Amino acid sequence: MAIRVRKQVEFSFYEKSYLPEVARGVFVTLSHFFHNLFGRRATRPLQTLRYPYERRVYPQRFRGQHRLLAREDGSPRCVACYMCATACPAYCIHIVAAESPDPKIEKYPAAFEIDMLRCIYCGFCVEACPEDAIRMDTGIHTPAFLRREDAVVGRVDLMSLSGQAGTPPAFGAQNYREKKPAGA
Amino acid sequence: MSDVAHDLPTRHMEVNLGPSHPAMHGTIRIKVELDGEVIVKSTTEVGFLHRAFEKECESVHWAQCMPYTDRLNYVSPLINNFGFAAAVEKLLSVEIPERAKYIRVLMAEISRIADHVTCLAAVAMELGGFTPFLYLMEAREFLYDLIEEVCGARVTVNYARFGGVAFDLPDGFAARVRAALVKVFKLLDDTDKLLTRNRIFIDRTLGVGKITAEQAVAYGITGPFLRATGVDYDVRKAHPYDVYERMEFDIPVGDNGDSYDRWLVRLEEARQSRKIIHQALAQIPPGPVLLEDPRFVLPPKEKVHTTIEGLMNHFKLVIDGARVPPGEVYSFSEAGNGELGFYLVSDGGGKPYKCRVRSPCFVIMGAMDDVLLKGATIADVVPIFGSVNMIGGECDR
Amino acid sequence: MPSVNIDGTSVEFKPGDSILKTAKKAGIEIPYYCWHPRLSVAANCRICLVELEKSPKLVPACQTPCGDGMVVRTKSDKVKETQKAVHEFLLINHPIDCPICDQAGECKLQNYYMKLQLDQGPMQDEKAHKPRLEELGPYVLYNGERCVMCTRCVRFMEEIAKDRQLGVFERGDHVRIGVFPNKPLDNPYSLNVVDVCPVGALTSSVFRFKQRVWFLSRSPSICPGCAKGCNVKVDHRSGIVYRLLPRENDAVNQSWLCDEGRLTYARANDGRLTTAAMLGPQGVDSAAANAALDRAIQLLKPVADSKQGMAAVLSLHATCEEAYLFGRFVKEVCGVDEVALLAYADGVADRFLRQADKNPNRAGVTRVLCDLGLKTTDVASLCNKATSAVKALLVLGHEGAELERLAAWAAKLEIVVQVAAARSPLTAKAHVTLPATNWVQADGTWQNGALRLQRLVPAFAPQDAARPAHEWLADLANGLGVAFALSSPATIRAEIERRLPSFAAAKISTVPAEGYSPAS
Repeated sequence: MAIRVRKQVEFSFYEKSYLPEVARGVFVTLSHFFHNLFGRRATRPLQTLRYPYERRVYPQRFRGQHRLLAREDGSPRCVACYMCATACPAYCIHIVAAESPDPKIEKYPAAFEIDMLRCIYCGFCVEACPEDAIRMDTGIHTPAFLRREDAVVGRVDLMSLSGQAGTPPAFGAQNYREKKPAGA
Repeated sequence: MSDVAHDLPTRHMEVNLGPSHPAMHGTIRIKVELDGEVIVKSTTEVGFLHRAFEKECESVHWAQCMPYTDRLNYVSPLINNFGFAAAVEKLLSVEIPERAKYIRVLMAEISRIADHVTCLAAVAMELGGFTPFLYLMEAREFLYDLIEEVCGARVTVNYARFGGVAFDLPDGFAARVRAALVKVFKLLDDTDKLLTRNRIFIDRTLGVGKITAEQAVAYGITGPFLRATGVDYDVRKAHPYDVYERMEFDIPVGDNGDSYDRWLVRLEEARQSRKIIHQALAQIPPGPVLLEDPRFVLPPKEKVHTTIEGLMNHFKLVIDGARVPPGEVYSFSEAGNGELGFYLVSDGGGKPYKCRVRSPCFVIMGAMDDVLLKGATIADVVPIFGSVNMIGGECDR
Repeated sequence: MPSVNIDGTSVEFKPGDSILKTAKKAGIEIPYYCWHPRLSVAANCRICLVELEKSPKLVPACQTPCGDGMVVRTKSDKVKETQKAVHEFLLINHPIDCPICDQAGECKLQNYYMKLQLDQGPMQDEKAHKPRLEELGPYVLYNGERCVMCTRCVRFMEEIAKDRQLGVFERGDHVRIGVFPNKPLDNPYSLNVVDVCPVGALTSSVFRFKQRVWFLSRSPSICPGCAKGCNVKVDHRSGIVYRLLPRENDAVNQSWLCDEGRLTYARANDGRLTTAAMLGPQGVDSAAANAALDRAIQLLKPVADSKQGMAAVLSLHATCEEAYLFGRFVKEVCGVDEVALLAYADGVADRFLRQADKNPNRAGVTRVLCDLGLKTTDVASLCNKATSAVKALLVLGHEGAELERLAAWAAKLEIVVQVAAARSPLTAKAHVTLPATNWVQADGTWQNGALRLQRLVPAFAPQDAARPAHEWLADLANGLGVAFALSSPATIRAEIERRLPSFAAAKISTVPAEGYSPAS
């Protein structure tokens, strides 16, 4: 746990004659230059991907665009419990609940909108969902839009997205309630 | 000034730097009155990035404040997260599991390296050295990759929770950290070689922005800024938290308190952080990363999905927020710029009553006009301000 | 006075009161599901068990009468353990329904879990299954799995509604609440069972899935359904009223509401007027508030100058303050001596809450107008008058039975100005419509059939151009040359108290939260 002190700066003779230092600096930059130009791709200091032809694989936990998961029959897993809307610190989720045509399910979201302009990508909605109905595992960024209104993504669009490869199957309270196995 | 100049009718020139200025990163406005090139008087205006963090926290639940803390010092967001979580845990009188403490130390040090690397890069760039800037940005990318792997995002991490951290480290993380650090420090060493003994660099930073230890302590300055003046105060050593007592590391200290010393101190601190990271990776025990306390921690998902108690617990915590017992606490930790303090007051409800942030760079900005910029030339503003490492989000909250 | 010692504090009690009632009055919290302050004691939930010195077993606090010198402990370890165990048993068969249950946020199981249990029961077996969506009545749905069989609903129907439409059927794991064959839960007080149900077993099919309760703000108000003036709580969010709940008032409605009154919440949302309108060649067009006001002043000027030819219609939903300003306006500015009252027709009455008079403020409005020296008549008589004799019609309000007829009659008039909160058949015929606030937004006073003065508190601010009716009237008067100088409902009330004999003793300006019944 010792404390180290920096020495006072004094230029050595070597350093006072400019050129050796210049040479050292140029050596550093030139070595980077040649490494980047002729070295093997994987070990280059400069890692540039030729986007969009080459893309980085995002980690499993990456929080990208949200998606709503569907049950096996295509209906939304979401039961409009409003947990995500309550947990969201940015108040960007708007839900309108309605009676589901299936009496076993009872509730479903007639409208489910996320205002992507307000979203802060914190992932609390995913943490709060008891039904595993909303996830941020699409691995894509929110697509660009030209008008503010287009930033409000609705239920149909949210359900059209799919997760990255390797996402776990869906399991939530409804699997217990309706006695269904872990599904998509 | 020669006699001729005294007879000329001259005024001091007022130059306005910022807030929209390439060197005023983080948006800040410095109005200087110049006598030739020497600054006679300067006025620093902060607050352009004020987003009412403290007031905002009063209207959301305790847990919902976590993403807001990401945006304080947005270059090292994990340290903010952990600072806030530690403060609330003090109010709750709970201790987090061992593994969570190690993870917090590990991730905080990775964040600290990222913070120092950014500061060094900015100083280099503003003095004209674009190459080291890009080297260090590349280095930062490796660190961001590590952070993204663990937290899910590079900057808006939202990783800490009351009672520990949100997720465990992914498999094989230790190996990837070690590999990344090799690359990061190769680039840092290259920057060191390019700049630290560079005549031009030394000319521009040696003796510039000098502040004595007494002045620094009087202003309440902490962190690398203070250590560059010779005072060896580091919160991690003076008031250790998490598992810092078990880590062996040195505190680099300077002599002069000028911009050159601050450069050297930050460089060396990054190297010490690497030491800490290696020790943490070696010592980290297995175990849970989050407490299971139904009073304020969301229950594990298996319980929420299969038991009514877990589900009700989950609902009540999301609807009402964690009920933190009434009281007040000032909890502080070592951030990239110094002592980051959270003063929290709870009235027993689900929302904070008061959340005050003691931001380290705001304190340093207090010394700008009277000490740091007095008598400096206009060209010195850049290295001085760069070595302050004022992060707008932290300074203005 | 005899006293018991509860948790170390000595509390005085009324002989006959139970420990729970006494503790509640002293502010000491003992949990309960099946107990209700206005229903008989059932003591079947067992969550209120407390420790009684000298008793080997814990006793239910809701059932045990206090005795002088008793020592009761409600927070001892034994009691806490028992509460945990009882709560665990209550949850054994409870379905994991919180995401789809409307009671989330105001559910006793959720609240007491956080206070008392905070633990997991060890049961792993399959939970009991019962019918989950039974329509017991036109407004009430029953979910058997969520029911904790506290029997509050059965006791309410028997003791308060005095109509035994609910019963307990079967026993053990099959026990359920149900209605009798061919007799649905159609009692006019059926929605109160939704209020008393501590869990989500009985829910309102009207409120079903409309909104989560923790997003709602709550304001006190009075029900506009009839002249009983039951006290209500208005649950609203962003300017929309979602439901009415009863507010406690021993003197008026205790803790109950009739279904008809509860369902008047929709009237606060439907067809609300928020912009002024003027009748143009193509029909009614929205207009700027100032323009509409100027036009109204311009239209009414000849009538104000000649003090002849004005017909006035006042709705019985107006507050006393609005009625006062209306009365003064039509009398002093327009020279009217008779006001037609727009009212709903009489309806069903019973011996509990419902009154035949389905207007909330007949007593107040008629007294205000009478004291101002105005005669009252009804809309039917007004419509019998020849339209040639009437130049202008001023209407305040939009609720009543004869609106179609009034609209048809008003179509023949030259000048129709209405100040209303919502659309009605008259809106299409009015030359100028000034948007007013409705009863949920009003700061006013209603006098119910028993001459009790009760305050309305604004739940949310008026939107866009809507303003309280008295402000419109004051502006109209100003434009026609008469200054009323009455800036706020408080000043209006002070003037009413000063000038009108019916309200002097009633002290309308200082009506407290629970209302005030004058001695006379």
